[in-house]
Amino acid sequence: MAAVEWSSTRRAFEVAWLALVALLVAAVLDDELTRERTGEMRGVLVVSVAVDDTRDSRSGVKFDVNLDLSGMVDIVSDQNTLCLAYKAEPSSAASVHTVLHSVIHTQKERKKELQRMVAGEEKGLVLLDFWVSPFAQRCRIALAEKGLACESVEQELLGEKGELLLRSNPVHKKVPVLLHAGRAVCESLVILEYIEDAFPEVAPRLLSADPLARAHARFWADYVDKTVYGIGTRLWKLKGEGRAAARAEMLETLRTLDGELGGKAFFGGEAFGFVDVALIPLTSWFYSYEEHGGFSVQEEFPRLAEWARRCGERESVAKILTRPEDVLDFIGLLKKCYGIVE
Amino acid sequence: MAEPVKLIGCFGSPFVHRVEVALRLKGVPYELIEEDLNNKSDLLLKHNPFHQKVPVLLHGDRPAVCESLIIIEYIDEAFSGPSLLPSDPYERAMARFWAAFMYKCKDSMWIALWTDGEVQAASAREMKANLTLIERQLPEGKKFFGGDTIGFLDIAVGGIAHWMGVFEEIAGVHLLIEEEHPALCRWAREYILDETVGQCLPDRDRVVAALTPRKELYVSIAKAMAAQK
Repeated sequence: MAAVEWSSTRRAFEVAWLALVALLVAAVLDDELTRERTGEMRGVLVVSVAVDDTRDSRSGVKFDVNLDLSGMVDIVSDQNTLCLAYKAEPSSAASVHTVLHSVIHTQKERKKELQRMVAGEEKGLVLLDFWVSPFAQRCRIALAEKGLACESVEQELLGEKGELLLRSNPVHKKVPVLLHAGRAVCESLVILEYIEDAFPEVAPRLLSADPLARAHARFWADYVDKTVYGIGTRLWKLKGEGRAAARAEMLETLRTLDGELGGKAFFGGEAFGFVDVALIPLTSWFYSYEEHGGFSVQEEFPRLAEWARRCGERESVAKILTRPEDVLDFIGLLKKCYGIVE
Repeated sequence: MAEPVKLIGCFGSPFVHRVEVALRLKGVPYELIEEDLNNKSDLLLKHNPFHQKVPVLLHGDRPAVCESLIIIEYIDEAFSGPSLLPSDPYERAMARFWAAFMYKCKDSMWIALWTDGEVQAASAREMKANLTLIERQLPEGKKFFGGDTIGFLDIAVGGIAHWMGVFEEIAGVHLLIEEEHPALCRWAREYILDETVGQCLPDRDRVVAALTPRKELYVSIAKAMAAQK
C-alpha cells in the first residue's frame, strides 16, 4: 500500500490521476460486466482512491492506492470523498452490479447535479432508486405504464447514504423517493397514489374511479405491504423454528393472494392495476423464498404463477423487474453483511 | 333514499373512533354494531376474514371495507360533504405519509409502554423523537393538522390525543409531556374539545377500566416486538 502526499500546486496532476483511475476502474468493470454477460467471472481488480477536497487548500491531497484481488463490496463515500474501495466476489454478479450502479462518477459532478435537483431546477420526475428494491420498482413500473419520463438516480444503501436521500427522506432514509419539482414524496404506495393524483389526465389509470374498487385495491396493496417482504426477510434471515414459522406464514399469505386473485386476469379484474403493481416486483423474490422455504409457487399456487407470467409480458415489467437469480445473489451479499452462515 | 351504513366496531377502540369521526364530519348517519372481540360474531368473521378486526364498514349491500384509514378514504370519496383529505396532490401525499408513519410508530410506542430497562428507555427515546416529527407537521398558527378544521391526519393521529393518556395511566409511563411537546399537547386538547369528536369519544375512565385487564397481553406483545427488533 503506497500513501503519497501531493502539494496543492499539483492540482492538475491530481485531476488527471483521478481521471485515469476512473477510466481504469470503468474499463475493468466494463470488462467484467461483458464477461459476466457471457457467463464468466474472474477476480476483479481492486482500486481504492480517497480524494479529500476539504483538505486540499491547506495540506494538499492524499491518495491511497491499494491493489487486492478478493473479498466483498465496500463503498464509502460522502459529499467530499470518493472512496472507491472494493473487492468483488468473483461469483457474485450482484457485487459488480452494485458497484457499477453506485460509484463511477466523481462526487463533485454528482454533488452539482444533486444541488440542481434539490433547487427544483429539474422540472421533471426523479426517483431515488436502488437497483434491487421492489418498492422502487413499483414506482418505476407505474411511471413506465403511464409513459411518464422519470430519471432514476441510484442510491448507495450498503455504504453511507447520500445527502440527497437523507435530505429528501429524513424520516425513513429509504428508497424510493419521488422528487417532483423539487418536492419529495416517500413510501412506495403513497408515491403510487401521488402519481395518480398529480397526473389525472394520464392513462392508464391504475386505480378505478369507483370508491369501493379503490378501497379494495388499497386494502390488498396494504395487505401485500404488511406481509410478503417482512415474512420473506425472516425466511432467509432465520433458521430452525424461526424459518419454519416464516415459511408457514408465507404459504398462508400466498394462498390468500392466490384466492383473492381467483380466476381473474389481474387483481382488479380485466386491467393491470394498483395491486398488480404493488405485488409484481416482489415476484422476483419468490425464487429466493422458494429456495429458503423449500416450496414451489408454480406447484402450490398455479394461478398466482400464471398471473406473474402474464404481468411479465408487459414491457414495463419485463424491463424493470430484477432477475430472480440476481435477487438470490443479493440476498447472499446481505447474509455476508449480517454475518449469516447457511 | 340513502343506503344504510353500518359500522362494526367495539367499545374503546381508537380505530373505530377514527371511522366514527369521519362519518360524523361527512354527515353520514350510521348504525354502530358493537362486537365483543373475545367472542367474534359471524358478521365480523364473514366481512373481515383476513384480519378479523374492527372497524368494518358496510355500505348498503356492498362488500365490506376494512382497515380504518382505507375506510376513511372510502367515506371521503363515496359521500358528499366537506373533504377530509386535502385537494392538492402533494398535500394528500403528505397526509397519507404521516398517517402511515403512525402505523410504523406503533412498535416503539408499545415497547416504550410495556417493557422496562434499557429496552424501554431506548424505545421511549425513539417514540419521543417520533412525536417531535409528528408535532412538526402542525401548520403554523392553526388548531389542527388539517388547518382550521379536523382533517384526515388529525383523525389518523387522534389516538395520541385520547388513548395515549389511557395507556400511560395503565402502564404508569409518561411519554407525551407538555414541556417536551407543547404544540402537540395543545393540539390534543383542541382535538378532544371538538364537538364532532366529542360525540363519539368513549369515556376515558370507562376505557381505562375496559383495557386494564389486557395489560398482561400488551406486555407479552411488547416483549415479542422487542425480540424481533
